[in-house]
Amino acid sequence: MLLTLALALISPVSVPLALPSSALERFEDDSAYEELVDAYEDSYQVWRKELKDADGIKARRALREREPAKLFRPRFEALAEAGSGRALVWIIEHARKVEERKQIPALKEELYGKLFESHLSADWFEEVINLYIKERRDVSAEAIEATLASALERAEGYARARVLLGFARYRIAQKCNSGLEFYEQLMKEHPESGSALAGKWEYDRLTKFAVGASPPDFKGETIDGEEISLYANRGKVTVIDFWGYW
Amino acid sequence: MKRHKADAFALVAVNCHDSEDEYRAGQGELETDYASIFDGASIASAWGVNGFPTMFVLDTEGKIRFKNVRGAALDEAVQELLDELKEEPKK
Repeated sequence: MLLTLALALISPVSVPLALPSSALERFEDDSAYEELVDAYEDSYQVWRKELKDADGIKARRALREREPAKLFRPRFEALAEAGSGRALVWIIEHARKVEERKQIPALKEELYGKLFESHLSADWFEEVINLYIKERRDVSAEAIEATLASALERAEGYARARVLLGFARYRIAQKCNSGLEFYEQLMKEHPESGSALAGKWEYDRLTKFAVGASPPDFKGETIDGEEISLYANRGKVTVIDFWGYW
Repeated sequence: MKRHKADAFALVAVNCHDSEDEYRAGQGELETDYASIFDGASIASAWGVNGFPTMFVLDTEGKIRFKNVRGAALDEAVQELLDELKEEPKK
């Protein structure tokens, strides 16, 4: 295990020889990380119950001092030092519980920097991209644009497909239509990737069913079995009302 | 909605997720002189609908002109499109 972690440290973005070059993903042995996360989750459940059963402000305050995220943080830091990228992600996700608010932007800048630099090709990296493109308060738009653009240049294969999808989603969320270009690039250059599959679904929603588009027909049945088609309403101003309850 | 009795207006309701009992209970009080699709969850999914109600307004050529309009805004949208028709020469 130590050997694997050491290898991960020495060869950050190299290509494992056994994989076909089109995949270009790196599989990190992160069993130490898995064990630590399980231990943390167990502690968290126990702590939450104690908090719920706590009697009075003093007891609650004492418990908050012993919040598991605070206790486990150094151990995740150690794993990150040893090369575990997912440990870095854990630290980002639990930063609020451990750090003072004002320290968080600087911390995230450092950690996302490390992640994009050394773990871009990891098979779990989609998680990082999804987290990153949702940052609004702690990371500036300029920084996000720059990081994604740089990642786009360096990544290859499925890793690049993931960056393209993230970039598309980010641009759309920012209400830029240029997001559509990224979807198109993704589907053209990495058609067989999982990212392209997800991207195509999102792209269709944005293009075929957006204001200004001419949607395809659909057919359905009334509860009495009569067939209804959308196109049968051509020539009329048509309101489609999707309704129901969760 | 009930105001628009003009020939050039159609309402297509697509129900999602309700059981038959829930559906009939909901429909009971409403006029049923419009198309109402039952169990349209797959249509909703294809259209990217992820909350209810979601309304789309299409013009006479089937193009989506408004999305997510409700109440007064919905009435105005429909009226705008109906008015467009009156300005066009009949084909």
